[in-house]
Amino acid sequence: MNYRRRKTTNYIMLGICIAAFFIGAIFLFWILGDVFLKGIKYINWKLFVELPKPPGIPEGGFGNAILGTFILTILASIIGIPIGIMAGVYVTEYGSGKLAWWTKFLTEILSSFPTIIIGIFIYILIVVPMKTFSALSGGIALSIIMLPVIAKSTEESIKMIPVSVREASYALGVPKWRTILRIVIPSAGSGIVTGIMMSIARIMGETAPLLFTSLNNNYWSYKLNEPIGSLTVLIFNYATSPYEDWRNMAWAAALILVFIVLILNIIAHIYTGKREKR
Amino acid sequence: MPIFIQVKERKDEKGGSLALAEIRVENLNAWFGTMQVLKDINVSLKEKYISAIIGPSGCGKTTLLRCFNRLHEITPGAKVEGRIFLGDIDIYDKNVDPVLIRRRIGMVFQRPNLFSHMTIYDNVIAGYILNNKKIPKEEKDKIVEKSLKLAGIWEEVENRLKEYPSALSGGQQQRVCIARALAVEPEVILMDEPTSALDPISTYRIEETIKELKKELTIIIVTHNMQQAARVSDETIFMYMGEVIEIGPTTEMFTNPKKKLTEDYITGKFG
Repeated sequence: MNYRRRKTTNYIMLGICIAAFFIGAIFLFWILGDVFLKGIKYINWKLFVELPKPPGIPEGGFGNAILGTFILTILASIIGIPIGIMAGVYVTEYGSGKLAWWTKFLTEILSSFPTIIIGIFIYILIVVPMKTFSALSGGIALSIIMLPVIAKSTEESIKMIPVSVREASYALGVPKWRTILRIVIPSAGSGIVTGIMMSIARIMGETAPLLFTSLNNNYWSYKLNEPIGSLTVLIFNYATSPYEDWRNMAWAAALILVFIVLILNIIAHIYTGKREKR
Repeated sequence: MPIFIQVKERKDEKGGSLALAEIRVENLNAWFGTMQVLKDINVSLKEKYISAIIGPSGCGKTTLLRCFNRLHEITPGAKVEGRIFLGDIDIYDKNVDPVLIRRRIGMVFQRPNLFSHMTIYDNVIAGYILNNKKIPKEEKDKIVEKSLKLAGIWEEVENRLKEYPSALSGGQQQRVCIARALAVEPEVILMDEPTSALDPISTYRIEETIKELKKELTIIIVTHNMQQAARVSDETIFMYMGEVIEIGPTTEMFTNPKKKLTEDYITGKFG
């Protein structure tokens, strides 16, 4: 009797878990499928190399926005990755006092901070004094969003490194800073790389902070002190426009963005898998 | 400014080398937070001897071992007072850099702890590459071969040097750990229950290695296993509750202990 009850409970709970999984998975595949079906029709090579055309004029592309997204991501990475890793290392390796506690606490808060506020903050801090929207301010805003993600994942993956490995290095007469650089960080490498990939995937999808910082640009732009286009802002502008050909372009841009993010995630997974095999 | 006098290879007037890797511990006390784990330790250990530290769990034997290369103090909240002399240098002198001490006093841990992101070859030579010492490839090869031979594992890994440590068994990994410690040519090697995680055959091999190493350097080994202490060591230190109860030649200690407590422990009445 008891056994039968336990068995039924097991089946019911298992059923609920599977249902929950499907609810999550259905939405994921629904979104992916929708973006794919609506976007694939408008994908052609001109999208990647041409500039946007005014509504009503056929063809054109958004190569500048794709390039812009990459420039912004690289800028954000240059600032965000080293600071994020250093913050994570500080908290785990040197942090025993109050400062470390605050670093950890503020990182946590920052990671759930509304990104639009970060955008406004950078707007006041950089855009207003510079008197222009710029790629630089966009990159800085994105780097602030990246920072806590990287700091957290660095901290988590360093914590996984057993003390015995560190001690092995100390016992060989290796100073602490070299141990961190040559043993701790490489051993935690796959975790840190996964964190970096995740943060890049996240900032590539950010729109709100860019509206206040890098704004948009309909032409090719490489300069850091000028506004720059990006895929997300382009999607935002096109999708909310009254012109049908622009809305179609937005679907194509969405598909390209999803594809880039997906590739990044796959790279992260392959990398993690490779390291774990050792 | 940390100073460190290199006294290795020092000779007396007649050209004979002095016993420099002798270790003398004076009034050593150690704490974890407020808990005192070592109480007024005074011992001296002879050069090119194998000294075994035995005693029940929690008696402070591992802590004592970790004081020899100043590894105890890196644990948060840990504290050490007293002096330990290596030859004529007080390793707890405030001018002595603990990092340099650790290059002269190597250590093998309870469980194999090779660097998993480095090849076997790189692991053996780790003491050099991690400290950015530039040495030619041929010399590196020589050091790796010599150290692995000393650790008695050369034949087994000769053709696998470019593999990662996870490809080796636990016993093999532990012997590579010994090779890694030997590669930097320390004068003393500390071993913290090096065979406790290993099977009897690996244990036997490592004990043979230890006996062989005695020709080259001073060895201090902590062990739970009294038979092991009896098999490998020349001298035994018996510890209980953070104190050294008895120290003496191993054969004497095991056949004719001076203290009642030692006898009780050795005959298995407690511990």
